[in-house]
This record gives sequence, C-alpha cells and structure tokens, in this order.
Amino acid sequence: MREENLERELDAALARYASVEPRDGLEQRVLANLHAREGRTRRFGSLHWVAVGFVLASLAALLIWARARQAVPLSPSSQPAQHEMASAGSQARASAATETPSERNLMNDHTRRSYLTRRNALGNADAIPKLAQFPAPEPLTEQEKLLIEFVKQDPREAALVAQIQTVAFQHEVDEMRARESGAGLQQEVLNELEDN
Amino acid sequence: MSEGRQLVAGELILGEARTAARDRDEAVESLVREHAKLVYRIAYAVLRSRDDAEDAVQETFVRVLRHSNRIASVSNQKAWLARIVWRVAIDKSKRERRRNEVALETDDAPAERIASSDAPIENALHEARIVTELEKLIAALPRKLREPLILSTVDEMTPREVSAVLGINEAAVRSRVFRARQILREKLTAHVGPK
Repeated sequence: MREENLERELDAALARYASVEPRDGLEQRVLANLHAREGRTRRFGSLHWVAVGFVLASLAALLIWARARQAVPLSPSSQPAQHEMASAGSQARASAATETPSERNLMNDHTRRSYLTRRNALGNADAIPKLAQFPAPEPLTEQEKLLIEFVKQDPREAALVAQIQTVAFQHEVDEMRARESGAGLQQEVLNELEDN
Repeated sequence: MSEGRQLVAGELILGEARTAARDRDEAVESLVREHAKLVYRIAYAVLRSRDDAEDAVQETFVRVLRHSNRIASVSNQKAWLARIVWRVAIDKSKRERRRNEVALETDDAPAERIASSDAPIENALHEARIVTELEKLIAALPRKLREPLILSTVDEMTPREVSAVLGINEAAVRSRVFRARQILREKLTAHVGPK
C-alpha cells in the first residue's frame, strides 16, 4: 500500500517536473524577435557586401602599388634620378615585348629588367646624331685667321715660306740629334777614363 | 525582343525567390505556433528557470530561422526541434554552471506551484516539497540516467522521440528511465517519507 502511494507520488511529481506553462504571449515574443533579427540581417547583409567591396578594392590598389614599386627599384639617395629610372623601367617593360626567346630564357627577372634598361639606353644613344669631327671644332684664333688671310692673298710666297720653315725645322732637329749623340760619346769617354 | 525575354526571366526568378522566402517565413511561423510550448518545456526541464528557458526558446528559433531552407526536408519536425532545443539548453546549462559555481536558488517555481494549486495548503506544501527534493535528486543522477528521465517528463515526448534526441535506441531509453525511477523512489522515501 505504502509502495503504491509512493509510486503515485513519484509519477505526479515527475509529471509536474516539466509541466510548466510559459508566460502569456511566448509565441508573439519569439516571432517579434525573429522578425527583428531578419530585418537586421537584411540591413547588415547589404552593409556587409559594401564592406567586402571596399576591402577588395583596397587590396587591388595595394597590389597594383606593390607591383609598380617592385618594377622600379629605387634607393633613397637617388631621388633626382627617380623620374629617369622610372621612364627607363617603363621603356624596358615596353621593350620586353621585343626581346628574343633566348634572352628570355637565359635571364632571371631582375637581370632581365636591368639588361633591358641598358639595351634600351644604348638604343637611345644611337638615336643621337653623330658629330662630324671629334673633338668639336673651336673658333679660330687671331694668328690662324691672319695666316689664312696671308695664304689667300699670296699662295706662292706662302708655299715658299712653308718650305723654308720646313727645312729650318728639319735642320734644327738634326742639330738636336747630333748634340745628343755627342753628349753620349763624351759620357762614354769619361766612363772609360774613370775605369782606367 | 531578347531584352524583354530577359526581363520576364528576371521577374520570374525574383518572383520564385520571393515565394520561397515567404514560404520559409510561413514555415518558421507555423513551427513557432505549433511547437513553442514543447520547446519551452524541454528547455525548462533542463534549465529549471523560466527566464533561461525563454532565452533558450528564442535561441532555438533563431537557429531554426538560420536553417529555414531545411525545414521542408525534415521528416519529423517535432523531434528535430526537440533535438535543437536540447542542445541549446544543455550548452546554456553548462555556461551557467561555469558562471555560477555556487548555485543560487533564484527559481520562483515552488512558490508559484503552491499559489496555483487547488489542493488544501498542507497538500500543496507537501507537493512543492517533493518537487523541490525531486529536482535535487534528479540533478544528482548520473548523466546517462538523468537525460532520458528529464526528456521523458515532458508530456509530449514519446520514448521513440527521446531516443531520437539522445541518439540511443528506444529500449535503452526505457531501461534507463526505469532505473532512474528506482533510484529516485528509494532516495525520495529516505528524504521525504510517506505523507
């Protein structure tokens, strides 16, 4: 009898354990919460895409900037040459299209870039017009002008003077050589005397 | 001509999408209206607090909304919901236990039970005492026995559904509930004594 009572009490207690009624309007509260969340998700969903777009654009800009920087290596001390180097770099990139397959295979990226830059610079040097005379002619001196005037006025006398000058010059040279050989002979005689 | 055809196709796709979204919203709404009380009872059976149980219900339906495209393919929606709320409540219970290692008695259920009871005051007090004692004894049961017992106290849950929620077979549910009841009967006799 006591066992039966206990069993009944336990059944009743277990039945009461979870037999609670929620506060009124539970369904309405849940639905209101869901509608609110859905609205928020939609709003944040569009904002989310805007944020993703912004991040992607930033990444693309960063990538382009990094590639441009890599293509033109600069040292901080060469600021004035930046523009020239940048243009040379871009020319090198342009001429990369004209390089031969063997050139492309033999060189790594960096070597290839500098080679193309140099090759391009040489090509530019060819483009500059060559001088007719090296070094560049200078204006005539007063003496040269007078000499030209004298030759124009009397070419025969000028030729005669030139011949006389040449012979005199040759004579002078011969004298110098004779003096040098005489000094050498004297030195030999002196050496022999000393030896004796 | 082709622009017109594209416009019609676009409108059709948009129309389909709108219909699908409306259908999903309606499905979630119907689940809330049909099963909110069951979900609440399962949550309360685990958490033993009205506020926490209501929070668990909200969280459960938020999860349902997140996976609303799967509702149509669920064969037993009641068991599916029971499984979701069970996990939500168990997780919440673990979090709460970690937060308050020293459990504070904040539940107002015993007082409410006495106030709402039609029985004479002495009987009502006795019942409330038994239920309070029972809560302590159930909490002290091993997890293997406690979980099937808690779920089987919810009226709407059949042993088959309990087995689906816990992922064990129906016979195991029955035998574990039987063993849990035996332990409770013994301890309840020692603690409360006959009326």
